Amino acid sequence: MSDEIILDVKNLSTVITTDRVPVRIVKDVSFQLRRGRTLAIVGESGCGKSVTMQSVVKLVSRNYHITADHVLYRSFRSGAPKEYRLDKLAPYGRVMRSLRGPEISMVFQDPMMSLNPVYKIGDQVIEGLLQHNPGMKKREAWARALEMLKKLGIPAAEQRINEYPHQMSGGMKQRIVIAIAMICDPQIIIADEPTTALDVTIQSQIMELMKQLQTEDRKSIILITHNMGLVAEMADDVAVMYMGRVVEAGPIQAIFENPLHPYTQGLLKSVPVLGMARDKPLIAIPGSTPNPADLTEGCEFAGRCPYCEAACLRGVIPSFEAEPGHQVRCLRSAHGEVN
Amino acid sequence: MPGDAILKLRDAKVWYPVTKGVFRRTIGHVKAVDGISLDIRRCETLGVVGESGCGKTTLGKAIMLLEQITGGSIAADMDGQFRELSSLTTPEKLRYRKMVQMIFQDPYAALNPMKKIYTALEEPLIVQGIRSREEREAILASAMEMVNIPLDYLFKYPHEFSGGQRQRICIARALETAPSVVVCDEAVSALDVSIQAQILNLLRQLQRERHLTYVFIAHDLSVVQYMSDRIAVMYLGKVVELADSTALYENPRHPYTQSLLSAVPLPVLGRRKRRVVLQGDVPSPIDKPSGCPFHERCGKCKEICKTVEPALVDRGGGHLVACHLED
Ligand SMILES: Nc1ncnc2c1ncn2[C@@H]1O[C@H](COP(=O)(O)OP(=O)(O)OP(=O)(O)O)[C@@H](O)[C@H]1O
Ligand SMILES: Nc1ncnc2c1ncn2[C@@H]1O[C@H](COP(=O)(O)OP(=O)(O)OP(=O)(O)O)[C@@H](O)[C@H]1O
Ligand SMILES: [Mg+2]
Ligand SMILES: [Mg+2]
Repeated sequence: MSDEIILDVKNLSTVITTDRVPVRIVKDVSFQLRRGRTLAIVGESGCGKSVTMQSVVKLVSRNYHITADHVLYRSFRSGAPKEYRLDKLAPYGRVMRSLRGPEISMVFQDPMMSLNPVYKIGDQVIEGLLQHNPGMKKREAWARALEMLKKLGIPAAEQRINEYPHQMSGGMKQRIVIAIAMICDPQIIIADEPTTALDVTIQSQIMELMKQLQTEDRKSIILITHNMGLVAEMADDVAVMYMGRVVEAGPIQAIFENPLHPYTQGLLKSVPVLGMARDKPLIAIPGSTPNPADLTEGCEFAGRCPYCEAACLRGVIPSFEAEPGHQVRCLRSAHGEVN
Repeated sequence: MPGDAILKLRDAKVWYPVTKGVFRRTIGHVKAVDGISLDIRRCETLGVVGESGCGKTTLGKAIMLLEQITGGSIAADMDGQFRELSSLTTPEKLRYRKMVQMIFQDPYAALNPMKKIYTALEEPLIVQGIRSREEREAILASAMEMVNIPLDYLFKYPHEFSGGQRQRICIARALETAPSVVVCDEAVSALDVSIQAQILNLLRQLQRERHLTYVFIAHDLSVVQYMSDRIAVMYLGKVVELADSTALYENPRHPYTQSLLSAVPLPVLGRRKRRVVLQGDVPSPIDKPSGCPFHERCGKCKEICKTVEPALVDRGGGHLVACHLED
């Protein structure tokens, strides 16, 4: 039962046009989110993780062109499941607005991008609550907001709720943004780097809170993060992205214990661990990220790949199923010559 | 190699007033930095870790002269003479500002959303008095290359970048002016581990080549331990432990440091560590507890901890701990 799919994204692509030059940022991305589970999305900085999620919830500006076979959201909120084709909905139409917040909620990466510097913290947290619960008294909303801030471990919450964003530390701002996303009790939380500004104790406290919601209420989480420790603790499934594509996806065990794509392998080798030798340079994937505008065909990782062959430079590399549920976009997995 | 002090902090304090009502009556203070004394040594990396809201960014801002200290002193070595920052004349302040740079925690807030990246990167060079446009463009180009961002991105606006790209822009901006002290506030936290490794290697290389001093603030303890010569652990505006990086990681002595290290999530499956779970709520820097600031959450709290605040004392070999259990 726990394997019901709540969000199903099939071949999502996003083209962003700047100065009349269109660039494909997200390319044929497919993934499925199971109810009550956590999907982690990892990948290189700038590979399109945030744009993918913004495209799913349609919080984008006019220079984005989004296409998809389908983006299917299945709401289990009231009684029988109800399906919505998010790709068919108008980004700022009535239905989409009614879904964003109470059903699907997003925690944005840069807190200051979603906080308004001139409003009090409390007013920003209750805004969604009042909007989606007509008839709710401001007093009640305020009390709920206060409770949420306390749950997130903000000290002196009664005082803080009346303050402004500039008076907060980085980690406090981040928790305010999490509070805004969680206050309407959404079915899916998309958390984009939610804990970069948090110390490890508060990070684990917030992750415990999310896990608790997940087991009690069968919430689903999409966690975008660079922190592999967090992925190991939280995720059920992982999707690895590189230059706009999902290059590898599967259950966490498969990705961590049997990574098949050379990018995933390189990424996992670069993970810092406590107690590293201080006199040696850190391991990084050699080479640098290509400019997305320069890429035309072939594997996006070819230029940095130790196993690159002529065939890797042509066409679109398809995705292969290496083992049940474990997909890899790499020709080596087609040959079966995997180490 | 780390040498003599370049900055000396003595009982430095930054308190923010807490106001109430329309007349903004001050009803108390947020003691963000509450009496910090330490030397920052030339060419060293001083790591700073601690709970969210414990005053790390504020400490960095005080060093940058972006925040006035409300007590104590910060003095900098300027041409062989220690000068208190609060007594600098305007031209001296300008010189000091060239000497120190900060990579800010929130890259989006640090960049003007209305201006192209080109302008953001060019401005500090103009302030530095580099008149020739060609020279500025050459510096810009090498700074962009250094952080691995294509040159044509110079003509984009901040919102057109990914989180990690913005962070790299901020790193380029801080380093292009050739400062001697750089405060890195969560400078690599938005980067994937591979690019993070590249940037950290670069920061280390620049340190060797240009004899830079870093104050390295971060929550990722593995990264701090790797980068730092010494690490200061802060709690509620105070330094509670200060030691050599390896000593601190191998032998953490303050109970807060111990709980911090035990909470680091490991990048391996099925090996969830036993955590020293902190009891109680995070105390507020507004109404600080009496005695040891950590006592309400400490598993080893004694009677004396509730009333007497422990001093930061050298417990041998330059390992400083502020804890009564050490007495
Ligand atoms: N509004 C925009 N206009 C033009 N280009 C954009 C815009 N937003 C993002 N991009 C570009 O799209 C690419 C992907 O950005 P995205 O923010 O999705 O990366 P990311 O995977 O989230 O990276 P990070 O881990 O650094 O946050 C980047 O190269 C970025 O420069
Ligand atoms: N301008 C300000 N006005 C009032 N209070 C402030 C101001 N700036 C910071 N504070 C408060 O000072 C304390 C320390 O903040 P600071 O930003 O230095 O924390 P930090 O250690 O950097 O935390 P984080 O790890 O979350 O970034 C916090 O309680 C914060 O709310
Ligand atoms: Mg992002
Ligand atoms: Mg900070």
